[in-house]
Amino acid sequence: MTMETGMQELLMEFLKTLPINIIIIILSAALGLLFAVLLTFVRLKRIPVISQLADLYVSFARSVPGLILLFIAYFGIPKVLPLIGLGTYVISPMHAAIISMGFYHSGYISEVFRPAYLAVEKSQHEAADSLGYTPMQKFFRIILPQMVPVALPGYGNALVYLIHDTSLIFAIGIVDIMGTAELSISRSYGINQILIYFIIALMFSAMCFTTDGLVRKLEKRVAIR
Amino acid sequence: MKIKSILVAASVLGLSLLTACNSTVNKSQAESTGDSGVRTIKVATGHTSKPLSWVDENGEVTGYEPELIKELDKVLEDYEFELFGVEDSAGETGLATGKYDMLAGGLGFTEERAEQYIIPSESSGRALIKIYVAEDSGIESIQDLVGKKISPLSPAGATYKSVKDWEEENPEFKLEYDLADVGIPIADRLKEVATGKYDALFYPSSYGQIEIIEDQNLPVVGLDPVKIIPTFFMIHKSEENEELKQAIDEGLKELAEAGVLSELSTEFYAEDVFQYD
Repeated sequence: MTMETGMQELLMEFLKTLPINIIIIILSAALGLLFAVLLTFVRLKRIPVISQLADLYVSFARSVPGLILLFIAYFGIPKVLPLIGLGTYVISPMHAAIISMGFYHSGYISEVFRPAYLAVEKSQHEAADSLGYTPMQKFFRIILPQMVPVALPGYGNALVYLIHDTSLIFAIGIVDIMGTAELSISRSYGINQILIYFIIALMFSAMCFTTDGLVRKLEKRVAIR
Repeated sequence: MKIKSILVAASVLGLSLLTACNSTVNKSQAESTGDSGVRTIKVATGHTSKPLSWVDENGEVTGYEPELIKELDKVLEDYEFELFGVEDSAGETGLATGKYDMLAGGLGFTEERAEQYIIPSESSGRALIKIYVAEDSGIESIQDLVGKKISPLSPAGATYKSVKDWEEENPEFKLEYDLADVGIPIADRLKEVATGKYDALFYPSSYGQIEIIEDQNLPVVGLDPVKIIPTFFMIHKSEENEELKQAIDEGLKELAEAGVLSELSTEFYAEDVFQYD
């Protein structure tokens, strides 16, 4: 096999495993968004104990390295759940990856949403109240449209960090694009290592570039409205 | 309307995740407590440590240790072995937490490991710490390395310890080397010896050096080992695994006597690592 055909085959392998990264990114971003909304709500409401616990959650999720969170989800959850009476669970590597990335992402973007909410002037709340809006109407008609343009740049950054963190999932045996690269390097005893890493860098760059583009598009749309 | 759709989508996502987790549980539980009385042992092994253990082009875990596990599977009727290719750190973490029953990682005996895991009495292989030098260097043993340029040693691992032990036993010979976690692939480190950047490289022989030297046509040779370290499978510490240890000991003894370990060594390391015993 010539080096050229070897590289072509490797590129095909990368493309075959790319959907794994994309699935993990989409699902953990969705899970993270859902948790972040709940967390931000709880933190802003200042409910005694619960708000403090939510603060602790955010601080923990943001300060612990991604690899450690991945190990905690994969090895720790099956140990902890029986202790709190929730039965025996075996978590697959894919689920552990989605849960840990979603956990990390939710902590990070909650810290984007909270200041975005606080950036909306108090007079806007008062105006909505004086017009007789219900809390739901006030949030969705007045506050959210002003929050989104403030939050979007930070949210875009959080998505980029999430994409970077998927490069760690091979540690628990998921063969994604980074895994394909590592396996290929190992099979050839490290020959072509730099070239393979360069291709991976381009692929991650492309994913971040696309995400960034989508967020910018959204930013423009929101700004016009 | 939009909010409703988002809420429905979020609920579906959450439910599908939970369902998927549950289905994995049921499958795994069924696997490990099968009706046949055969116990399934989950074995973690490296996935990028060719030729010790790696994942091949077909996604199969192979290498010296995985193939030895497959041989054990054949001789131990009461056990079935399932291999998982993971990072070394994940393997040890999973073994400590009981996610895996056994770890096949070419690990040597240490007091710390003996406290944390069950270690079989029979070893599964040998880690040979060898010196790699240029063919025409005239270096024949570790004593000849005085005043020579030695490739940096990683402060972690058995290689540095082996060299340090030798220096303590032989204080009349003073070797000069730097400590660094180099992170350069073994193929490149052998090239550094071939090109004369360094006169010698200390390295465990289980990284496919013989194959690399032949494939790359490098004028490098490996000298006889400085240290021979028996390696062992590590077993998760639990009462039921005491029986597994007995079985592993019996199986390994049987395979060693039948010459299977030497055959596997020749197949994957291109030499019989047991010849130096």
